[in-house]
Amino acid sequence: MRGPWARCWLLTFLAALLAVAFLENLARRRGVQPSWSVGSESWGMEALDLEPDGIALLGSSRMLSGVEPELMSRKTGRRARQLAINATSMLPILEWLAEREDFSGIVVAEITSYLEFRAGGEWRATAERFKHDLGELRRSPARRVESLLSRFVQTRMACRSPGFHLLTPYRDRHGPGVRRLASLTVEGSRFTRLEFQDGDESLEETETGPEKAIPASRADLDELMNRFAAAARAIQRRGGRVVFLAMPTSGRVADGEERAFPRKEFWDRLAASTSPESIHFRDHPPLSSFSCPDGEHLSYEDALRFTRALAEVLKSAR
Amino acid sequence: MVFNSLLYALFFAAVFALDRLTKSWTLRKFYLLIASLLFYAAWCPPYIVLLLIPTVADWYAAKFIAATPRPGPRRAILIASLALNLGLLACFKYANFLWGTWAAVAQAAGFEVQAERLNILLPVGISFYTFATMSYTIDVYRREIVPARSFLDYALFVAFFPHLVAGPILRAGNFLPQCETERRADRDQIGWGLTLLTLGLFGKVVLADGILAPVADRIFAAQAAIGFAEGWIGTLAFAGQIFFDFAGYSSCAIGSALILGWQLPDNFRFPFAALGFADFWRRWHISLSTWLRDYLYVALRGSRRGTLRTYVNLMLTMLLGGLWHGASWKFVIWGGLQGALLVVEKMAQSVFRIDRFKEVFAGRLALWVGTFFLFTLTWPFFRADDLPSAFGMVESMLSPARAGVLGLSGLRVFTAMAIVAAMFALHGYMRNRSTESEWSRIPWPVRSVILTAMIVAIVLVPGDSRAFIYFQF
Repeated sequence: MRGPWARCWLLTFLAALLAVAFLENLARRRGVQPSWSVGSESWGMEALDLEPDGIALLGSSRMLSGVEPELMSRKTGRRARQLAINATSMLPILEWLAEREDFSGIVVAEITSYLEFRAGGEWRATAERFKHDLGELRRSPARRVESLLSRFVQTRMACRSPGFHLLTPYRDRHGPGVRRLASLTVEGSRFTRLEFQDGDESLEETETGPEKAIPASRADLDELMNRFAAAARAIQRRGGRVVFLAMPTSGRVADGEERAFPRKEFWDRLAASTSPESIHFRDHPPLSSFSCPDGEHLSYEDALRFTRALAEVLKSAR
Repeated sequence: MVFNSLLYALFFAAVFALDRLTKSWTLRKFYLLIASLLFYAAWCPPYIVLLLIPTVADWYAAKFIAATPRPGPRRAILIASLALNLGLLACFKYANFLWGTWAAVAQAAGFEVQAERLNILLPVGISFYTFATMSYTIDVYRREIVPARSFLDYALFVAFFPHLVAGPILRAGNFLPQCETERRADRDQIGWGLTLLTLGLFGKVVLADGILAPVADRIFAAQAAIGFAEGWIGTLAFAGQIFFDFAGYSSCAIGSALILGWQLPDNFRFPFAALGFADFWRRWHISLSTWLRDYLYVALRGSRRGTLRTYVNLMLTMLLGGLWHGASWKFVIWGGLQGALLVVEKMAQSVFRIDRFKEVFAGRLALWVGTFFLFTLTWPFFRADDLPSAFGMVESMLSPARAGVLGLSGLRVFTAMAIVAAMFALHGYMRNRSTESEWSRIPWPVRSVILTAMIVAIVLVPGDSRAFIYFQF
């Protein structure tokens, strides 16, 4: 096709460069820091690096923003890897670790009841995709180089940060007494650093995540419990530890979760039927004093305090 | 390596620079071949052998066929070549399907057979390059082309990286003549090639992966019985996703080749503008549908053996076309539905002469919407994880009273449906137009603004890059 292409593309490149520079500046002025992603690439890189005797941190966004892996490594003397995945069940990842014959380390498996025990399998689909992508990452030199390149670029561009993206799960929390998110930064270790605005805001009243979820049927729940137990047993047989963990929640989210997924019917049953160690934040005084600004995620400072406290509980439980 | 990656940007920049700096035409083709092999090996190095085996075998097969006047040996070599190509496909793509089907039949007959999956990795693009090399041997056998004079040209035809892993499926008759004369892209080709690359990446990264895939994935992953609206939203989102994904890939492939001075055939011509199913297949994945027509439908004698045989041939062609997409019964059913729609359309044409409806606006509108509606009903068999899920999705789409259960985000659904509606309307408008002709009517500063907006959107969309859907075929 004929046309003044040189002029057209020169203007395009300059305008695109200026627009991206403007957005980068805007993002930084809003306090957004360059940030790695919590997607399958960063997950795969961490999963490939998990040492056989290391600590695997599994769970959802509560774990991603609540346990700082480098601090956990220092406190426990074992390398901890953040393998949690946003808004998804961690069961497929626990099963993947169970199949990994060389792994005999510690699994800290965070249980978000409304993700693990809800009806339907869609909440496990993301984790299944991550597992599939890990195979690609393992055999494909292009995927590994791409992951490194992508980390290099993403950790330098604030405008590509999930914190600058409006559709992040952390931004969906509304309700009386809920504080708004001020910034979200994913560190190189995949730890998701959350900062909240000061003061409470009364925003529009909406249903919380747990209240929207429909619990699995009795038969499906039995099957899920069996899967948890089988995966935990496989890791324990090799000398590993599996610690199920209920992270702090507060306010309407905690109430909603208790109403929709009562502790007795779900958490207590899991703890009783799987036999590994289980840590519910309410049962351990050092873990029970935390408050989540949005109901289910810890702020950065609290995440550091929580990590230290959890490391102590893990050590004493042993 | 995928087009929507930083690695591809670096790779392509290096290939382009080397191509421009090299004077010798033979050396440039040699560099392109090496780059293409690297492009393939970057996915999984040992599997490069699977690309080289049919390349070398079909090179010698075609030479022998062309040099031998006697029909018997010619035919024998052709059959051997087809057996090798189809054998590789059977081993690496269909082994689990064949084994699983056999085990299911044996179990149904009362035998104790374990149907464990074989641990075979599907080589990326095997269906595409196998069809390309097969078409070369068949064309030489039919004396439609003469064998390539140079192995370098022929190997480049098979391995040329823009088309290698997801098409368009090349024909030797289109590509080899381009190897004869030296070519270098001029300013217009580079400008238009970059535009196609940008359009393709925008469709893939922003529309397909950023907006439509999350909605479609969420709904198709649901295992509970979903609602009527959810069924339609998920399927329509997938219709948009697969179009922008695959047409986006084709656009990137054609654009990349054009920047290097090579012409690849069109693969999409606004398929959702189709007035009927035959029309749809003339617009959707054109390189595959013409391949199936020329090498399967025609080989079965097409419509030359009477009406009933025509219907059978159509059905067989579409069943195998469905199976080409994936080793699963759900793809066979999807292909069967396409065949059935084509057969019914042919019957309706002979009884009611439905072509008459195209002469009036209301008739065209009815055919346009009707084609899209019926085609949409078949997508669940393409997208769902398994057959029960596909049937469940279709059931939801046909049950208006069924309430929603998923609690989807209103903003996401609205955006996804707005994009699907805009795509449908745009296809209707573009029915008898081409992207190139419409684009050329836009003043260059406006073009620049559109391209800038697309590039900024591509840069801003965070998150993981997904592989193109057709890589799995």
